Amino acid sequence: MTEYILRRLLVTPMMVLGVTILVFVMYNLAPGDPVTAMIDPLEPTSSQIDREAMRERLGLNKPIHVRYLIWLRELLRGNLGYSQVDGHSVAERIAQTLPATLLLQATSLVLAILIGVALGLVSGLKQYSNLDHALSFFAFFGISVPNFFVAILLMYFLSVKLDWFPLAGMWTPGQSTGLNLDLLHHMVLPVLANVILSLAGYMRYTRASVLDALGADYVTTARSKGLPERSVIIRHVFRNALLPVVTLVGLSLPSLLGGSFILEQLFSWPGMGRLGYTALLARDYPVIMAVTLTSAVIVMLANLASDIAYGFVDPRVRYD
Amino acid sequence: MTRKEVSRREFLRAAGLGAAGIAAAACIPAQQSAVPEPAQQTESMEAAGPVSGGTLTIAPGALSFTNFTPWKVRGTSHYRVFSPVVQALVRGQEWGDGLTPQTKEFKITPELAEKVDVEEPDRVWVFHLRQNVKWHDGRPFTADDVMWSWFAATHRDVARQSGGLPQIKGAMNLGENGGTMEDLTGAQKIDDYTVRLELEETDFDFISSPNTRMDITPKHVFEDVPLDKVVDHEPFAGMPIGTGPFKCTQLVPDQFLAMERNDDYWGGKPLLDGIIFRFLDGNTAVAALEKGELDVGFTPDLASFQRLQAMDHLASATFPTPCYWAYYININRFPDTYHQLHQALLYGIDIDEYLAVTTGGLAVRDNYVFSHIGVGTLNQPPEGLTDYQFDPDKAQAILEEINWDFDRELEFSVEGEPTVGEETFQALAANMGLKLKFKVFHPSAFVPEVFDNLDFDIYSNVQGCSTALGHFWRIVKCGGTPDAGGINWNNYCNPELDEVYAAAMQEKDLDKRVELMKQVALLVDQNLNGAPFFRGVGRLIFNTRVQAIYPGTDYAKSVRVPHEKIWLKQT
Repeated sequence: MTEYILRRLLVTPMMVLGVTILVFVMYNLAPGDPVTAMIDPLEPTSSQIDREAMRERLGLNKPIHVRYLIWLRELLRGNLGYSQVDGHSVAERIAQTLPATLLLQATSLVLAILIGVALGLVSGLKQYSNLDHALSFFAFFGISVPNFFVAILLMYFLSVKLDWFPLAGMWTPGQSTGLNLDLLHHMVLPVLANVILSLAGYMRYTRASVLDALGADYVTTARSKGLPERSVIIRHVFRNALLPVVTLVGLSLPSLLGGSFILEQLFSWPGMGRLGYTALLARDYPVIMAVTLTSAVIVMLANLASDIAYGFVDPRVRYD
Repeated sequence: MTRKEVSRREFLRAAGLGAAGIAAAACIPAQQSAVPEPAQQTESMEAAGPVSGGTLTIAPGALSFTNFTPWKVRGTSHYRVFSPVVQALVRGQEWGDGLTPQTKEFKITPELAEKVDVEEPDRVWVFHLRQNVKWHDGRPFTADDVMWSWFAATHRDVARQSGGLPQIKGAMNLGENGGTMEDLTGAQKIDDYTVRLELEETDFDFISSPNTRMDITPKHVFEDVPLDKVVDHEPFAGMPIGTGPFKCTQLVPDQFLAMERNDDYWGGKPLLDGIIFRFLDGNTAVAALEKGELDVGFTPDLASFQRLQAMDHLASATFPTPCYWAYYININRFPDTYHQLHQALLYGIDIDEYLAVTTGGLAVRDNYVFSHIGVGTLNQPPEGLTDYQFDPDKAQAILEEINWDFDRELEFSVEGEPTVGEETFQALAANMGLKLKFKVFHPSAFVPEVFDNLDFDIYSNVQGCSTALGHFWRIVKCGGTPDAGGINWNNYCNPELDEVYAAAMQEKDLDKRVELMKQVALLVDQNLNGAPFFRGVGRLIFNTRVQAIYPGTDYAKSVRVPHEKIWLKQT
C-alpha cells in the first residue's frame, strides 16, 4: 500500500504539470488577451500605445513558451504571480476564496452522501413501490436538470417569494462575518442546489448496490443462519452497498468544482469558482492558471484518497 | 506500512475528523462589522422633509472590484463605487446627470477647488482649494495632495489604466522618461491652498469635459511607496481614503464594500448612515430588487425593467445618455459602396419599430453626431443634415443603384450572443431584402478580431459617449487607427473632414468653432460608413423608500453625484 501511495504521489505532479501545459496553451491560443479584455468595446478609450505598454508591463509580448517557463519557475518558488487585472497576489486571492468553496462543497458533499445513500437504501429495499418510483423520478429530475436552473427556481420561490432565505452572498452585508448563524442561513440555498443535483447519483448507485447485495449469496446465507432482518440489512446489505459510493465520491468532485463556477456566480458566493469565472471573462491568465492548478490538485488528491479509502473499506482490494 | 496498521474503523473516524477540520478551516475568522447600526430616527415619520439614518444598498452593475484607486477606474460601474469616496478638483456636467438639459451650456462644478480663475482660456487655470477639507483619516487636504495627484497621473512608472493627464505641460516627457515633480512644469504650487495648472497647448475639452479625471489622492499615504507600487498599494487600493461624504469601512472581496457617513464632510453631514455596494450578478440583482434586498439597480434588461417598474415598492427613472448607437460597414470589403449601403439601411430599417422593440420606445432616433454637446448651439443639427425617415422604396432604389446581390449574406459580427437589438436589426434588414448572418465572437476576442483585424461586414457599436469636442475626431481621423494611438476602429478616412475638424479645434471664437463643427457633421452625413441612428436611454430602478436619488444621481458618468443628499423614507 505504501509503495502504491508513493507511486501515485510521484505521478501526481507530472499529471498536474500536463494539466497546466494544456490549460496555458489553450488559453493563450484563443484570440484576445487580458489587455483587450480590459477594453470596453462600447466606449473604447484605450489607445494602442497604452495597450502595447500594458502588454510589455505584463510580459505578454514574450513568446508563449517563455511565459509558461517563467510561470513554472515562479510556481516552484511558491509564487503564483499577480492578477493582470487588479494586481493582487494570486496566492492571496486563492487563499481568500478557496475556504468559501471548500465550505460550500464539503457541506454539500456530506449532505448529498448522507441523504442520497439513505434514500437509495430505502429505494432499493422498497423496489417497485410507489416510494421507489417517486424517488426514482426525483433522481432523474436531479440528473437531467442543469444546476443553474435548480438554483434559479430555489432563489425565486424560497427567497424572493417566501423570503425564507437570503438571496445571495455569504453574509448579510455590513454584519459580522465568520462562522455564525448568518453564514448558515446564507448557505442553505446554494447547498440545497448542489445537494439536489448530487444526491441523485448517490441514490441511484446505492439503490443498484442494495439490489445486487440483496441477491448475493452472503445475504442468503445470513438469512438462512436465522439473523434478524434488521441485522441482515445493516451488517450485510448496507455495508457492502456502500462500496461503490466511495468511488463515486472521488468521481463527483470534478463536477462539483466545475459546477461551482456557475452556482457561486448566481449566489454571489465569494469562492474560487466565482474568482475563476471573473478571471475567465477578463482573460486574467495568472488567476486562471492558479484556479486550474488548485482544482487539479484537489481532484487528484481526492481521487488518490478515494482509491486508498477503497482499499481500507473493501478487504478484497489489494494494491500490492 | 501494511493495511493492518490502521483499522477501517480508525480510518473512517480519522476521515470524519478530517472533514470536520476542513469545514472549520474553511470558515473565515470573524470580523466585526464596521458599519454602524442605523441611527435613531431624528425626525418623526410624518416629517415631510429629509430624515437622516439608514443604509442604502446598491448593486453597481459589476461582479467584483478589488481596486478602487482612480488609476484603475474601469467604466461606469466602477465609478459608481468609487465616487462617494474619492473627489476631484472640479467636475463637468453632461446629459444623464438629470440636471443638465440638452440645451444648456456645459459648465464645471467646483468640488475640492472652490474657485477657478482662468489665466488663459482653455489652457491655464489657477485653482483655489477649499480650506476646511479633511481626508478620511483626519489629515488636512492641501495643495501638496493636488501636486502629488497630478504627478501620479503623468509619471511613467505609475501603472495606470485610467486617470492620465498627458495634456499638462511636461507630462509627455514625464510619461516617457520619468523624472521628478519639477519636471512637470505645468503644475505649480503657489501656496498651501492655491495651485496653477498649465497645459502644453489649448484644449477646449480639458476642464469642462467629465472625461477629464482630476481625482485627488492623499500624498501622505504614498510618501514611502515606490511609484511602480502606487496603483496596487494596500490598504488604499481596496479601501481608498478620500475626502468624499462616505468613507470605506469594510471590504469583503467579491461580496460588498461598506461605507459609513463622513461626519466631517466639507459639504455637510450626509443624511444616510452608510452605503453598501453589493457585487451581484445582473439577474441576481433584479431578483434582489424585487425582493427588497437591494435599494438601487442600474440599467436592467428591458423586460426586467418593465416588470420591476410595475411593482408597488419600486420606482424607476429613465434618462438620456450621450452615447449613440450605430452600425458600421467594413470600408475595406465595400470600398465603393459602403456609404450607399449605410444610407439604404437608414432608409430601409424601421427605426421606430426597432426602438419600440429594443427600448420600449424610450430612446429617440437621432443621426446627428453632436446633439449631446451643449456648446453654444452645437446641439442643434445644421441645415441640410439628412432626415432619414423610414422609406423602403428609397432603400430599395439605392440598393439597385449599386447592383446589390440580394443573395449575398453579410457577416454581422457580434460580441458574445446576439443582443435583442442585433436580432431585431437582422429581422428588419431581412424585410428590406438584406441578409445578415451572425458571426459570434467571444467578448475578449471581439476587440482583436473585429477592431484590430476588421473581421466583419457589419457590426454594431455604441460610441460618442464623451462630450469632449475632439472625441469624435478620434473615431474618424485619417490614420487614427488603434496601432497609431487612436480609436478609428473602422479605418475611415476623409481628408476634407480632417481639415475642417482641425480648424475647429484651433478656432478660439466659440461661434465660429460651432459652425466648423457643424460642417464636420455635414461631411460625416455625406460620406460615413456608419453613423448614429438613435441615442441611448439609461434605466434606473430603485426602492420607493429611497429619496433624492434622481435627478442628479444616475452615476452614469463622472459628474458630481450628491450622495450626501440621498435619504431613506422611514416606514
